[in-house]
Amino acid sequence: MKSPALRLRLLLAAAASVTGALIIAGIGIALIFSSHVERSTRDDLESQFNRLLALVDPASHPPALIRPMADPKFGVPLGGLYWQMSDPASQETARSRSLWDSVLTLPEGLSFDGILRSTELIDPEGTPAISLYRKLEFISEIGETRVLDIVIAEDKERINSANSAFRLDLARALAVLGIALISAAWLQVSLGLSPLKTIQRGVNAIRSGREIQLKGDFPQEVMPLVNEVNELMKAQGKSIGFARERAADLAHGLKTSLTVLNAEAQTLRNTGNTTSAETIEELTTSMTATIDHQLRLSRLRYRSRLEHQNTILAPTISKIVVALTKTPKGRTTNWDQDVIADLGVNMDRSDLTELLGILLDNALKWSTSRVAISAGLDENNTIQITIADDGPGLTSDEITQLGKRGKRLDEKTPGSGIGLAIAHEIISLNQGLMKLQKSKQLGGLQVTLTLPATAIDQKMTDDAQDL
Amino acid sequence: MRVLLVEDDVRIAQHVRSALEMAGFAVDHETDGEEAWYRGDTEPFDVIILDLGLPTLDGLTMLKRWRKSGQGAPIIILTARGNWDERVEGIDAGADDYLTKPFRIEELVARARALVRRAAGHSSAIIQAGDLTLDTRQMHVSRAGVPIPLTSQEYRLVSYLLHQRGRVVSQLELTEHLYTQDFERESNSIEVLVGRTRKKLGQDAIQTRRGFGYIIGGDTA
Repeated sequence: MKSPALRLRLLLAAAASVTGALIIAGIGIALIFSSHVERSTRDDLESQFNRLLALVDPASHPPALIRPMADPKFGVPLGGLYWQMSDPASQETARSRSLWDSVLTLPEGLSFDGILRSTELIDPEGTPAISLYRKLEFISEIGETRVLDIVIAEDKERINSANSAFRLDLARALAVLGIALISAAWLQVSLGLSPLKTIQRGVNAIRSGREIQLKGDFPQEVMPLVNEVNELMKAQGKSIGFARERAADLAHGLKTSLTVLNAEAQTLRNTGNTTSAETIEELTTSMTATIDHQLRLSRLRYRSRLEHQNTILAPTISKIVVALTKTPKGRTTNWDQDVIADLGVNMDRSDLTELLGILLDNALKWSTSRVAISAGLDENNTIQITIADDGPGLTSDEITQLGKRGKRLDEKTPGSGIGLAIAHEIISLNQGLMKLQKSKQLGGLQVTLTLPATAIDQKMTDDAQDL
Repeated sequence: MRVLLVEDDVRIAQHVRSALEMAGFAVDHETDGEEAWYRGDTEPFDVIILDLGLPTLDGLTMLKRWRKSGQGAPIIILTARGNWDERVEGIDAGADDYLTKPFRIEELVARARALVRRAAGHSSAIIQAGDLTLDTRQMHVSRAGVPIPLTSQEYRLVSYLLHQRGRVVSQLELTEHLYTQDFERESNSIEVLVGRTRKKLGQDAIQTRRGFGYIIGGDTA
């Protein structure tokens, strides 16, 4: 089962954490605000209570105020601010006009403990109201003692609406903060994961053969991973290199012995033992062909279709031709080269050199005096390379035979067949094609190769190669 | 003609050495890369045969170092791998020819002979100076069409002077190119050899330039 993407997991975790933290913070802030508003309201109410006491006329029956309370809300019916004085002895009650015909019911058992108590009452509108009340004893100018239960109340509507407005503002602010924090988390996750993206690109470059190690600056936290990958690549490279070296050493050892055997065969021939010399030479030729085939195969690079490489064709051909002109026959042969400069082949450099080396060597071997090489891009954006010689050429049947992998035309010719078998392997590994036909231009054999061109974007990014 | 053979396999070296000596070459053989590089860098050779797979110093590195230090002698590389990458790399590094193992020794000798000839500016296998003719492939020397039987040292002398046709060759140069390092020779070896060869070829075949050396094919002194 495929695990969710790391980025998604981190983002979901960040979003959940941020949302949770903001909800808890919002509840806390709302409670603090509500508590603050209530305390402030209570302080205001206490001031109103003190002003009310200053205006009480204790000699009045029923109890009354010397003058109305300054706050007009006391004078407006159901105005939100209320006061009430009641004489428990005479059952006389006075109240603010705002109470209209309602009565505030105080808790029972009030005592002279001097404490201004607070409780929640139901106001005339039937809504909860915050109230302060106290039992007080007044002594009038004439010495009469008067006990009054005094209460002042304010409905909680103002507090509630202030709290609601604050909560709405708070929710909006926290939502904006939440979005900002989640965005920041996304940015953080992206930045945090960017080294992994760089590693992915690096691994891709290694896979395509453009690099052999992960390169670049990586954060300290991912360096262990980078080091491990590089160590792994180094170990793999060493392992492949070791295997190839061992194969090469084996081939070297065998071929050295075969060279000695050849020399011994020559000695036998010189002493007249031609039959034995020929037998030894046939065997050494056959063994050499087998060793060469396996050794060359061991050097081929297997790669996936996704890998892109860029080997510039013209210098590759030129250098092979230079090598061939060092041979006695190559020196006297005319080499016609018509290769468009900067053509990039999407192939490993060694593989392309091996393929062209085999085919050009073959063309030289069969040519009389001329080998023609041309290369260009066809309409399918693939590279067409033709190698033609002016040799005896081949019949249609021979071409059919030669086109079959591993088939040899002349079993007695040293090395023949093996080169073409390797060429077939290389072409197959690189999704190319090879066509054999009679050369109209030179009369001999013409080999036409169709090879993948380097993608333009790849060509732009790759450095031009020396070979 | 003096050849430096750098080959770590003694069996191959013996065969090659024997064939080269039969072909008129004076052969110095080295099996170790470092030692071979030093000798190639300090002694004059007419051709170097270099095996790429050597202990202590690989052949390709040695080749590059020689070319960098100005060693201009023709070099044939011998390789067991046979892949084109290595051949191209070898030629690119300054080799003049290559042979893939297992090779036929007569082919190696023929190529060595051709390289020496071309390095001296001769395109044909037959070098002539007046009525004196050298067939490098047959190892025949003839004068006015009459074959002259020569010993190997005499052949080397005539061959070297004919390769350097028209140029005065000093005694020192002849010594360096006709004898291997371990050949025990007297101080007048060259004079004796020239004298002996003149008796076979005719006194005027090899001319002496007093104080300078010997010449074949120069103007009459």
